Amino acid sequence: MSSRILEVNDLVTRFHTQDGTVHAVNGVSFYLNEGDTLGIVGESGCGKSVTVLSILRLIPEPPAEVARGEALFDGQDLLRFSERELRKVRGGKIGLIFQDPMTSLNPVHTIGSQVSEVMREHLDISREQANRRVLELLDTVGIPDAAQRARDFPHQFSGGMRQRVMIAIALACNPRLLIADEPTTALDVTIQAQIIEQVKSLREQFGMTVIWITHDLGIVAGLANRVIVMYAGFVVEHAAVADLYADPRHPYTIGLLQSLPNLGEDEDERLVSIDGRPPDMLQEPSLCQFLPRCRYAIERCREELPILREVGDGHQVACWSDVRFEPQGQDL
Amino acid sequence: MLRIIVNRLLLAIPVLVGVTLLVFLILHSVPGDPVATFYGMDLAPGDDLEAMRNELGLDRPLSAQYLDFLWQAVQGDLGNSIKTRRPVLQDLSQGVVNTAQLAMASIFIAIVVGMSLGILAAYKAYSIWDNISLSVSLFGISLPVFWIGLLLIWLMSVKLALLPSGGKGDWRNLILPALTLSLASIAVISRVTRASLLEILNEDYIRTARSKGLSGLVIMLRHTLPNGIFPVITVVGLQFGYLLAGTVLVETVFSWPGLGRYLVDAIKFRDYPVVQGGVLIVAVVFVVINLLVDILYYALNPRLRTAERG
Repeated sequence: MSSRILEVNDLVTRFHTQDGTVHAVNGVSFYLNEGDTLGIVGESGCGKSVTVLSILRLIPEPPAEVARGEALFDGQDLLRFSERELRKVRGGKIGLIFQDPMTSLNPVHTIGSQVSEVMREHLDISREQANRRVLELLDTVGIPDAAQRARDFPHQFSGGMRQRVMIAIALACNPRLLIADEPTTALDVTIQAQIIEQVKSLREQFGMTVIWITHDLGIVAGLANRVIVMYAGFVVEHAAVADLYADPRHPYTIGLLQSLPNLGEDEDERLVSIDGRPPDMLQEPSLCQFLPRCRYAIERCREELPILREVGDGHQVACWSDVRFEPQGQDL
Repeated sequence: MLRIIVNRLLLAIPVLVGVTLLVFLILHSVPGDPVATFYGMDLAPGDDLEAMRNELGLDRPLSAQYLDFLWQAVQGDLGNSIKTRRPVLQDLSQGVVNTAQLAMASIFIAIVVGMSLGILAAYKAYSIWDNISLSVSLFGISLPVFWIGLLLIWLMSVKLALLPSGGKGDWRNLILPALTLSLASIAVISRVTRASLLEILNEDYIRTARSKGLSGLVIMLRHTLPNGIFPVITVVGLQFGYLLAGTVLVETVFSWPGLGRYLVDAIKFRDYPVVQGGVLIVAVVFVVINLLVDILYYALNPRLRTAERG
């Protein structure tokens, strides 16, 4: 039994905007064991980024407010941390990579200084040591000609290369946890595959625990060992990756899997889409948020909010209806 | 780099020609001329105004007078003052130095105080500090220079007897006029700094900086300011132009023997060469300052800098 590295319980984050309160994260719970790679899947605006950014207080407060919950990192609740304590965690114990590498690096500083900066902040090392380690890191993340490139500015790098620099920054202080917030969404497919391979090999090399946020179920299948599926600020399903694909139990997950194209299948078969639109997050949720789009709804769904319940070994689903789905020999 | 400088200098030529032409035309379309103003009071009977005008070359066609001025100016000669009969450059030089001193001191105060207020307001956005900064700015921009000047004289010189009320002496004489002159610029610079920094604070790379665990101050000074400085530089350059214009009032209030006061006197007496020369000098300073702004832009922006290297 590997040790628990992160445990998030009942996290609630709201945004107080001019149009009203946006209920972005509504009581999200999940956990992460040492060595896990957890995929967080969901469509745009479902609260998956806000969830992880809330843990480290990296969302703008105000308008955001982390209203409730706990985030136990090595047993200590990050949400009770002072800003000063949190700063030690950010970049030091938890490294982050973000979605858009084109805008995530500061245009006026060299790559080298942006990588060494984080080490100078957290590690007790000299400028020379930091600079030497920058070259190692750039080499490790697959940037050729590191000594030369460290002196270059972000605009002299391609998107894929910039994301590699971001990975170097995130890994610089040997963090226990790497959070990757849609790191490949903005990259084209071949670069995407390279970055994923890179992270996989670094994960083996450093024995890292990873949270990988994406809306791409295909990426999760190849990378994660456990998955949570989010919808409208709720965790709707939580399962080992094989279980999720073999035996999805939430109507939304089923819909997502049905909407994936299948190589080698009948080419005339149309992809299934989920009818309707995501809910208005301005309403405080009192029922299952997927209800208006759900084909499997039962009476109880119109009466109370579903809670996550165990349906198998480590397989949880937030649905009253007992849905089973027979995948037609899908191999993901 | 050199190409940019040469380019800007070439562009400056039509600007300077335009400025002098405009001033020349305005001056000559105002009723009255130097001969009437200077000699009009105590004319002896039989004195021939036309002969004097002829002597000064004022009866020639305007186009000829202007081209003459231009041709001499290109050779570094701004002509002689009609009033003092000394070369304009010689007469103006002390005023230019004094005004430059005042303007430099003012812009220095404006940059230091204005940017500090702006940084504070952005760093503590929507807090009491932000509001204090806003109040100072509103105060600075709303109150007329001459009134603030008088108020400062009353407070610092008359009531507290800390600083001299005017005139030219040591550095203490510079404080009050420089401060007065800088107030409006402080306001503009602090507002632009705040707005620009707040915009940068929303950038993704600021989130990256925060995800590295850097302190708020480091993020502000190392990551936000270098990116948000560009609009501020532009405004400082423009403010310098307003400062030069504003010196006229301040120099009058504080009896500061600068270019502004000298020019106002020259306009009153229709001392054509002095006015034209003075305006030309101000215009040249303005063009040079803006050239410096462009160079600074270039030097601070790695995207422009490295583009040239290859």
